[in-house]
Amino acid sequence: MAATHGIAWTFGDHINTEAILGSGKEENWGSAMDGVLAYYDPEFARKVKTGDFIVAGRNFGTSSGRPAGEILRQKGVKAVICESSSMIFYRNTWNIGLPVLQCPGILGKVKKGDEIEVDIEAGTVKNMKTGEVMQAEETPWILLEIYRQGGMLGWIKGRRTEYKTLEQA
Amino acid sequence: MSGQTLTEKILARASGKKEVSPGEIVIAGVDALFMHSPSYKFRHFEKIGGVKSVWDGDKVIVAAGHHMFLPSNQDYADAVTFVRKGCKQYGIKHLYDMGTGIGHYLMVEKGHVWPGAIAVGSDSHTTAYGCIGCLASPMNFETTEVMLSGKAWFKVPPTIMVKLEGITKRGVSARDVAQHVLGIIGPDGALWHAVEYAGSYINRLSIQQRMIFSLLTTEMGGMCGMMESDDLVLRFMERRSRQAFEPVYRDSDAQYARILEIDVSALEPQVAIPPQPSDTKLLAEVEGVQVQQAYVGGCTGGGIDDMRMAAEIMRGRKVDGEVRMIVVPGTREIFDQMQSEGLVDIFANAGALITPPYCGPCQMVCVGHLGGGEVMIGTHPRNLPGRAGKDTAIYLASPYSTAAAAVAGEITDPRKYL
Repeated sequence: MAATHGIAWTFGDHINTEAILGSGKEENWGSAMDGVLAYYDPEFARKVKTGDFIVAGRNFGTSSGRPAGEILRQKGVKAVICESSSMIFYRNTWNIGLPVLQCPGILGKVKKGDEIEVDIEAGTVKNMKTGEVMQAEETPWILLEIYRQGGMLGWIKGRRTEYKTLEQA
Repeated sequence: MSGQTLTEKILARASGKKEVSPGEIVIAGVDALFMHSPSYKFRHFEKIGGVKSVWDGDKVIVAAGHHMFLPSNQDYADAVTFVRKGCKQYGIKHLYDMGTGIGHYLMVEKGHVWPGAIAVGSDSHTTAYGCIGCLASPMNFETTEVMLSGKAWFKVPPTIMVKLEGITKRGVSARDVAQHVLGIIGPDGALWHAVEYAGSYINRLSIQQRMIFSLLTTEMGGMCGMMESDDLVLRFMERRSRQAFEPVYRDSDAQYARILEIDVSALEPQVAIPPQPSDTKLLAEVEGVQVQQAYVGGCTGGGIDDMRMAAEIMRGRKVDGEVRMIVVPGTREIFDQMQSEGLVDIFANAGALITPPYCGPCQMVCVGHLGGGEVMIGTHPRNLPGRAGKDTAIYLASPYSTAAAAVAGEITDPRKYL
């Protein structure tokens, strides 16, 4: 997949999943969509555009295991790039089909509103204003494989014959 | 070959390897899969199409009553109906329905996990089952795939060892000790790590009190938190485990990323202040903060020991007129034990509200919502933004301290009531 350009929305450390997808909203996505990250940036839910990126600090997506990445994907976010990510959020979100790159030092190199270029396969992030390129940590091979199939559901369908629990065509 | 930690040994055995090293990706067989609200996973099944059943109906456990003891609106009622139907359709044999309790207590109490097992679960607090020497790790979206394959992948974590020695002062509980450890390690100090707990302090605790440590490991970012099984665990498991098992023990020369040694004997009551479970302070620093709700329950405070501690404070006293005190046993078995010990009467006479077993107002999905500007103190694990509505504050503390706040109407040192 080729590199994509977009605008960065920046967030600090320890952004929790409840602040992305509010408690009790899993069965009520309409109202959840309006409140995404409102506690940390009230503008975000209204102004985020398809193709934008989230650039965040340490431990992004901490706390509850709810699939909060799905609501970011539906908001049009193309990738989350953070200093580090909570394990559950990281695994969930790649499986949803939305990449999360752990890129130590990123928050010092990208400001809110900066245009960045992200290459998921190469794990690189370029700040178009400064020209500086940062290298993210290596993504586990299995997640890249899942991502290439569009996420977990595509990955399962593509390997259908490996499951005794599925009817075969 | 260097020694292996408990985590490494369990992962190696479950993935058919002699040894594993931190950073390696392994694919392991799963012994138990816990889910609290699998409705969207069943919708995944519909999208995949042709799902005959889960890989092993005996190993998939659904706790539909985890978040609510009864549905509080039709959306929730419909979601539960859908879950019940899905469990039947896909051959899931263990469904704990409304009012049965918190899934994490049930997983251990009903013997769905055992020492040396690997469990995964859709709730972030799945790390709980580490209290009996089971490697238990949270994963949510992917549980759809685990239901079909019976396998899960792990990135072998480096291990942090926490050794706890000594005996706490009167009025200082396992929650205070665990809160202290969480404060030291911090919200991401165990990110992508395993945490193993050991020492004479841990071995003197009941299984439910050990669970506070394994469970709160997730608040440090940990992949799993556990302790070796000992005689207490093996005796407990004799009556409960659903299958024969061979426990796993760490090597004496295992390699750790970090070793923390803590003497608990001088420790004072602790509290987590908003908005992070790891924002640990001495309770003395927040004395006088007024509270409108006090909650004894949750997966770190719904055990029988927690109920005994809170009852010790409430015996012969009344809940303050400005406070709602909510007491929620973790499971029906815990509730039965409370009844036989007379604890239910103590709470009722004090003016506390007792609900059927469930997660309680840890997050506001059933009853017990806070109003704007209100403050709650509770024994549950989380106080993060978005869990309790707008403009609210949650303090986390021991059952002693929570009950003391219910009596005083403000945060206060519980030892004056003991």
